Amino acid sequence: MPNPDTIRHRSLRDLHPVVAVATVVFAVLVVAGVILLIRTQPRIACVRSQILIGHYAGMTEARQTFDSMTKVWYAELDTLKHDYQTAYDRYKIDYQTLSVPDRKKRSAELDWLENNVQRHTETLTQKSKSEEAKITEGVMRQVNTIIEKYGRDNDYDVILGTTLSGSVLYAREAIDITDDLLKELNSSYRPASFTGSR
Amino acid sequence: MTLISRAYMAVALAALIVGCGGTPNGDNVHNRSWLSDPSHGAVQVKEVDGLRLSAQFVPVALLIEEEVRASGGGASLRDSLRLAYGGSLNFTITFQAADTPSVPQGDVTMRGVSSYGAYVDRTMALNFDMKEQISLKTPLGGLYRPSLAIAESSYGFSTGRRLTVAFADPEGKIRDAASLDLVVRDIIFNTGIHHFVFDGEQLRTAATYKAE
Repeated sequence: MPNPDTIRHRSLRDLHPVVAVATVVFAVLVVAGVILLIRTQPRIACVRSQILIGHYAGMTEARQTFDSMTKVWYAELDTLKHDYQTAYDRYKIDYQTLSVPDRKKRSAELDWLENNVQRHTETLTQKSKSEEAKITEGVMRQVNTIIEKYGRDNDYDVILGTTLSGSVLYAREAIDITDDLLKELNSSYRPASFTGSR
Repeated sequence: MTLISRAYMAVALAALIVGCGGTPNGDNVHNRSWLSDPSHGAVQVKEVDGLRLSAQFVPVALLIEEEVRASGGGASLRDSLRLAYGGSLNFTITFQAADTPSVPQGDVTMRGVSSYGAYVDRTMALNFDMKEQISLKTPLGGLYRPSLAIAESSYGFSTGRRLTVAFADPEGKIRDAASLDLVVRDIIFNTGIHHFVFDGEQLRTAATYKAE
């Protein structure tokens, strides 16, 4: 029976030098291999695009700007429509008392007013579409810039966007970065420091 | 090293530290660079789609001195500018490329432009329409529109474009605000709406500039 006092725990120093070196080299290689394996795995994240854009303060403000712009335009159109309606009502009242040439003249005036309303409606629809596209484009430029920066800063290789057209069918919650990205987007849009007063 | 030269070095070093890190002094170039230091809170920067937009608070005295020097004017010009800018709050909004390209590029207004007509539209918008797209908000709900917006065609050797906007503030309501939100809707490069938020206290410090 060996004396417990004489039992020594074997440490690396007690090993044969060659075995010790080989053990260390092996350990280093294993660690390097694991790191390499992790690094070569692409870092992928998912974003719910609709939520991101819909809750982005920049988009909300852009929509408000667009709405107040179109409100002014449509108010102008309403004035034209009102002018036409007034002229039409007056024509109906005066119709019986008007001579044939006067009826023709008034009718032509009404046609011109009606065409004017139609022309303005078409122009406005086009202008509205083009302005909406422009505003959305501006917001998307901001969003894309922040996503790019976020991806770089957080070492992502790919950030996928889930859209209604459905390019990503499933993503584990762990890789969904929508909330983090939204926080980043909104804080870079307008800092929270805009509060209080002297 | 002799004692005299050591003393000289110490004095020179002290002068350098005071000159670089202290409060603004009367030198225009020095003051522009002092104001351009983000830690002083007088400049805010946004980068979108390779474009850098910055808004810099400019004290009235500095604006006047720069104007006088640029046009070679004298005391009468200084007086008339004092009358024009007096009691106003001024900012310069700069549009420039975010990266310094290895190959020199032209005027930033030409960026992504495919026709001469589009270039002219941009230049016209910069000169005449941007004023309507800028506002200043205070936390208490104050909304101010610029009373003046002047576009510079170029400055120095830079390819950027600069727009100086002045907000009339006769009652000092803007100056006394805890913070200011300069809102700029970029209709030149279509990069959306930008909020440049300034701390009121930092702007009041920056405004203590005294021209030489």
